Amino acid sequence: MLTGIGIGAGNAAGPAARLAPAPVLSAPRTLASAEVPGEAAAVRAALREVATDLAERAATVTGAAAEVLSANAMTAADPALADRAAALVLDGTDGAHALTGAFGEFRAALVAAGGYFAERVADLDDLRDRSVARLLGLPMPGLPVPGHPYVPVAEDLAPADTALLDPGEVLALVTERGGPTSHTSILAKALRLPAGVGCADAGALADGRTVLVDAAAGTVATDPTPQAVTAAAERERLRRERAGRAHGPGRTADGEGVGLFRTEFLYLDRAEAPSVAEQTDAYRTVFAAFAGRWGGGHAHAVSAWGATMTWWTWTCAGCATSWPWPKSAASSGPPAACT
Amino acid sequence: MRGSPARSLPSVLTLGAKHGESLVLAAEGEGARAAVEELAALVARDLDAQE
Repeated sequence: MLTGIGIGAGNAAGPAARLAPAPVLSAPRTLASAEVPGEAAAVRAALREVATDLAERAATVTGAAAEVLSANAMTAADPALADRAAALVLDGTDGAHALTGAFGEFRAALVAAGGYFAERVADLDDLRDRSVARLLGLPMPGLPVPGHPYVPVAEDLAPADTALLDPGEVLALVTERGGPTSHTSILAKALRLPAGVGCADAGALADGRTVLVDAAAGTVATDPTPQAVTAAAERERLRRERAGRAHGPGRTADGEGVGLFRTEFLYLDRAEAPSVAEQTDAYRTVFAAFAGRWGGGHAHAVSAWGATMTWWTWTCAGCATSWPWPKSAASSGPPAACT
Repeated sequence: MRGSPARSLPSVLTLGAKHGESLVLAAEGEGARAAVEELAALVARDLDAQE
């Protein structure tokens, strides 16, 4: 029995499948000249095979996962990358370090570009690890493809992994690290999967071993008895039945509510982040409109904020009326139609 | 001005072109003009906008 932090609701049992760790490079080696042509060909082949593998997987999925896989396949197939890695091999660098060096140059340029570009280094790192693993004949890092429903077991899930998780194949999540607000936990809640995060001993779980993940208890039982699995499945069935009975619009105890305050709209359609003063001004304008309105009447929610910051859409939480509201009218507050 | 081969996705990314910056697209060979015009039209619209 492993103990961690339970995330999400319910429980699920299934075979564990580990995410292989990234390959660890040994010390760099200078190639003998006779080795160079073969090593250069092997480096190119490794990149090509990683690209083919990702493209094949992209064809089997849809949506965001397909887009991520296609873009990564295109990057792995990039001629500039292969040429650079091959050039390093021609200089006598061994294949694994040549691949790492070539990816490293693109990586450094993305980091230097900053912001959104810098976030893409996770994709390059993943491709580097996959290419090196392919070249050295090591297990492929990242999500396993066992061909049946499974419970991924990882040190922690990378954002790239979570984008590619197939909710139809994944029964539950188990990680050694992470906490209630980590990436894995957010994903588990979004996919309504039970998860055990921060299970320090999960590293010892072997592929194929049956685990029973209980989100409420925060436990991961290893090799549960068939009776325990059946009992847990019955609890899960009842839980889902109860959850299925709850329907209709949500409401707060006092009948008032303000919708999501979509502050991210302030960041759209511009190159630089808004200043603190600008944000303070924008928030104050919104909150001023609510002055004295918290206790009675219909609450109003900003449901959409024009990307150009010249208008908002207001939706009345009481009667669901929506109307655009020009910024020029900010000082007068929302229309009084249904307050 | 910095340049990168358009057939290399990571090279294009490492240009670090940000919102509002100007791009110069160039191509040569058969169909070059149509290719550049199509690309320019693609870049000119808001790629993040809902279609």
